[in-house]
Amino acid sequence: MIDLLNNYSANSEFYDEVVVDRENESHTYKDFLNLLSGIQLEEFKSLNENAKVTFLNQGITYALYNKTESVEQIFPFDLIPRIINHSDWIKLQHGVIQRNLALNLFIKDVYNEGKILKDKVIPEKLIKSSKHYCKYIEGFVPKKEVYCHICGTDIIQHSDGNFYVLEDNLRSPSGVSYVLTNRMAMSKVLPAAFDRTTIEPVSEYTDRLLEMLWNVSGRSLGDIFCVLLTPGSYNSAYFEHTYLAQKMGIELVEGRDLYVENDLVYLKTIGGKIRVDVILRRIDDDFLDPEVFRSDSMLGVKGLMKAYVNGNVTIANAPGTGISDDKAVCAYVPDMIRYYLGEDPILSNVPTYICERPDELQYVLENIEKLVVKPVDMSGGYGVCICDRMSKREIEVLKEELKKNPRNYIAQPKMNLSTHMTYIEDEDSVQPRHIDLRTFTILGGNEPFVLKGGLTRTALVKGSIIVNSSQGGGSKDTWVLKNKI
Amino acid sequence: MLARVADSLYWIGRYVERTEHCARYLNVQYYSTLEAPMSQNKDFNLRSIMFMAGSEFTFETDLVEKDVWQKVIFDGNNPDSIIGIAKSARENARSIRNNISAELWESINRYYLFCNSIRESKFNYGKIFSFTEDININMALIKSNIHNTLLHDDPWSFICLGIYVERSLQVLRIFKSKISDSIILSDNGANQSLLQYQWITLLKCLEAFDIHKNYYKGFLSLKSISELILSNAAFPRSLKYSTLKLLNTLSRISVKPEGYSAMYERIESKITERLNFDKFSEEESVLTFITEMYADISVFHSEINNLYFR
Repeated sequence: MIDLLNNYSANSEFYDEVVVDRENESHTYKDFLNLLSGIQLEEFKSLNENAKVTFLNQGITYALYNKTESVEQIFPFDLIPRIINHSDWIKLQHGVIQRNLALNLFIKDVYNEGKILKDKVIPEKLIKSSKHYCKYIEGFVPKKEVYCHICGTDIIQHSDGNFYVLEDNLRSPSGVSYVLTNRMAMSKVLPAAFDRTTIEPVSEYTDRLLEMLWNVSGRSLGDIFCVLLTPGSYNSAYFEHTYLAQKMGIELVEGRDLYVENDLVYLKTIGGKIRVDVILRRIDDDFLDPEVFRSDSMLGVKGLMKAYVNGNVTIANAPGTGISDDKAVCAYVPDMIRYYLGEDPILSNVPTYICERPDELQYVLENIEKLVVKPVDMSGGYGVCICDRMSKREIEVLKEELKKNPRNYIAQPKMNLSTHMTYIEDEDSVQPRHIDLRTFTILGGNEPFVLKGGLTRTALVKGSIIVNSSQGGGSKDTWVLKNKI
Repeated sequence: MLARVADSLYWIGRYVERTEHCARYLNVQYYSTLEAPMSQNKDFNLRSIMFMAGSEFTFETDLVEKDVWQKVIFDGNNPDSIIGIAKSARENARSIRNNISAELWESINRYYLFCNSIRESKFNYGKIFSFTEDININMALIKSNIHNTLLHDDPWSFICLGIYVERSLQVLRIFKSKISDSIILSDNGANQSLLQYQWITLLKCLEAFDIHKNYYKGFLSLKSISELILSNAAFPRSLKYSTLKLLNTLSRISVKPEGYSAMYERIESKITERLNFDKFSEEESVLTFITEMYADISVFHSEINNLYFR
């Protein structure tokens, strides 16, 4: 591999984490690259194959939907890890905790007193018109005042070397199982790498998650019954649901396994009934309860929301947290941090133009070629328009759509996602590919917890900045260096 | 245990057992054509394979081998094809993978991946042997994982229940298929050695040829065959063995909901009554018995389903 590594170079327009590290002689990657240099390409390829077979046999796959059927795929995994040095990580960690604490306070405020709206820090109309606003929980405060128990924060490193928050995922962020299985695969395939570099472990995540579920149950330990609610085995993240349930030792259930009687939630078993205290849900609000949300939902549980607002069951994340997934709301997070915590934001937002504001819409229309336009309520990279790659005609269509439905869109300058050395199978070479980072924060445990590292997603197509697995992205193991004492 | 989980466990047992019988039948029946005492009609054998796999077929034209493999092995939309069964077994295992051992899940998943790796376009009769052998090895591994990597408590019992329900049905089904063959052949005036050959094929389909030879010292008749397959409690692929195991497994399940005792008694008395059958040498009686018993076992299935899985 030594030649491949020595010849590695990246487009200087972007921040390449390996190149910058090499130039600055900060030695974050030194030990790992030395190890890799000693491995022949053929050997590396067979290690790569081994890792793939491990994933396939264990059924660590996700479903990809095309027009006619869903196809199961393994999540492409790159053997070259992304390494974050200790001091960068400390900043990131404080930044995401600060951000998520503010978001949690914001959600509580919005569904109760609405102070931030009355003080006109955030326009009321913007919140109340969100597709994810949940009228049903107005005036209800969940146990320990926690709404977003699990927060996925998407972060990028721009060409200026700074980290920016791209978006928040507070409904049921997925991907954490890949962090844990990537680490497992990495340690099986390249154990020597771990001898040379001391990194933070990730395995405590599921313990912290369970601790949090117990903590927000409002019942005494030993009596608590937690379940993970999945839409079922056809869901794209089904592997993750089984994985988390198994690691925590809690029951994995589908909507049809639960029923509500006298506002209490029970499990349908082969014998007697078991009461459920905490539901870690991985289905969207829309499908939770056909009595309150979509009446055609086959995935949910009738009467669940009534049991919830009567305080008889804890749902994590709380219904209604989706308001802050709205990309237009995301733009206000720095204001929320100042408003609720009286602090300056540690992490910056990617600058966001809210098309609903007439002056900002005007700017977007005039500068559209420089911008990326996103629908406010889509995830998975769907509907993202990278305008400098669109034809004139497509731009005109988009402009008309923006004028017609400004509330549905935001625009951001095209951020230069950093690049990272990535092994490209088809070409037997290492090349720079764009990456981002999703961190996972747990609120509601004994203290806020951030999984050290997170999920580094890579775009596998040259030049692409869409890293989502649903659009052909892959992932890397993410290492946080331990503080050298 | 969740009702849905119990249901899936039961079906894993059924699909694994079904795969084993279908693969063996496919293998034995196909190769029986090649060394028959006189040239047997290949079409006849292919029809027999289709019958066993539950696939619909029309009598008008001669069957083409390729179409048979398509229907019986590859057709993912046919729930009774080898691939269809592998898919169902795997879907059931996947939906409850937390409730079974990683070893069991991975062996089922690997079997499914193996099936998917077989290309229909490259498949021909030369591959039947190695294909069915590979299936058998996979099934042996899966069964070993069922019995050796799970706690022998309720989840395991539900898998076993599925295995014995399916085995009872398959034994009857295979027997019925061969009796029907023999009746067709007699009507067509086939000679004795050809009929005899059908019985040998039947025994091989149940891996009972050597057992039968040793037990009956080479003497072969409808009586000896029926006796072995229907009422020899020591033969693991006999009806008696399978139904008694079914009963025993049912009694081992620790969760006994309301209605359990009544159901158990009904099943027990029906099995006891049926196992009194002894007209082993009368072709028509055997055929009637098989047909009725098959219906009884379908009723047992519904009873178990209603009590535990609803």
